[in-house]
Amino acid sequence: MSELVAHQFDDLDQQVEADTLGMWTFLATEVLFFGGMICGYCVYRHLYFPAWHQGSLVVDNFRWLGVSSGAWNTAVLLTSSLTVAMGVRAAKLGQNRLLMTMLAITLVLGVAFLAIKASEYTHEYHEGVMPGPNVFHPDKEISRDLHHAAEIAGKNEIALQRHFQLFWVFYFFMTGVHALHMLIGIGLFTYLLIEARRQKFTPEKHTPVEIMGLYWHFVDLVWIFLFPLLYLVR
Amino acid sequence: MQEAKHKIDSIRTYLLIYLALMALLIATVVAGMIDLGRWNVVIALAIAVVKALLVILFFMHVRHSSRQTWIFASASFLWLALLLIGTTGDYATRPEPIPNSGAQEQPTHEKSTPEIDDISQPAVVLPISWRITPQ
Repeated sequence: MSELVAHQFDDLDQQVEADTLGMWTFLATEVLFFGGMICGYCVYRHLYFPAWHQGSLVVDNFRWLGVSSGAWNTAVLLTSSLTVAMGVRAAKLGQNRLLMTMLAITLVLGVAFLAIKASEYTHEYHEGVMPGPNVFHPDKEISRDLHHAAEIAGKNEIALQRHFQLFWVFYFFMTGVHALHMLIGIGLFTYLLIEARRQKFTPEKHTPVEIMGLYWHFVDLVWIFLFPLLYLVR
Repeated sequence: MQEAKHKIDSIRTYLLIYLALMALLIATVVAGMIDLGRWNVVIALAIAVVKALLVILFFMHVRHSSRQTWIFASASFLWLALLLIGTTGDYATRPEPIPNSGAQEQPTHEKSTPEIDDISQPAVVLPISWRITPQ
């Protein structure tokens, strides 16, 4: 027992409490980090609505079986959150085999999310909407839609194009930072799987699974907001 | 307190929460197909908030957590709410700028009311009396 509890803590309960609180403190900084981007996004959505609407239509148009990839990715992440919750439960009960299965499914789902995201990015690159010198030149169809949108809104077409580009800066930055979090999550869960294989987790010592689970749920939480914000500007 | 710490939810609870989350996802997608004007964004974000609460309370076990964890978890969302309400409230209630409020003092300019989108022009044109003139 004494090996389990670090010397600064009275007992295991206090240590678990401190670990959980520490993770939530980190997550609070993450909430505000993503929150700042979301706030900026909302302001420009308000100011440049026609451009945001056009951008969102392009994002939402990449579909599989008639459902946008953003919705598929939400389903993938929600399912992974379920497997994480089940994994944490298994760790608490000392069911090591079930824990390993759940961690493995979570990893597969995490990679599936990134694969779908990567195919979206590739598609968007070919549509010419990825911002950057010599890269950003929206294809004919998108330009025509922008021209119509400018006419309907009574806006300067050049200005609308510039706002449209800003939408993509937000889109790639927000989804890119989220994807980076997914990569880190996949790294953490690979570590958990290796440790679980080495029988490192017991009902007394399952805190690493619990707090890395919190991180994974948080990354899911961010996507729950990014999906309607980016894909469903109506 | 002691018993709450060792509380383990049943698989049934997790599956029910998961089904609720998937149902809410379908609701978001369906609501996105219907044109409800301004209400589209309100409904989409309201559903997102419900989903987030389910994940936080059940999957992240905050409902079994200690009071400190509750405070830390809610504080971040409270600060975020202040940021969002303050900023969006400002933009939503700002009146349209009145172009050229100092017009009587201003000599006729080639372009006195710049488009807000035109980056070659300053966003705000100060009345002539405010400008610093070299002595």
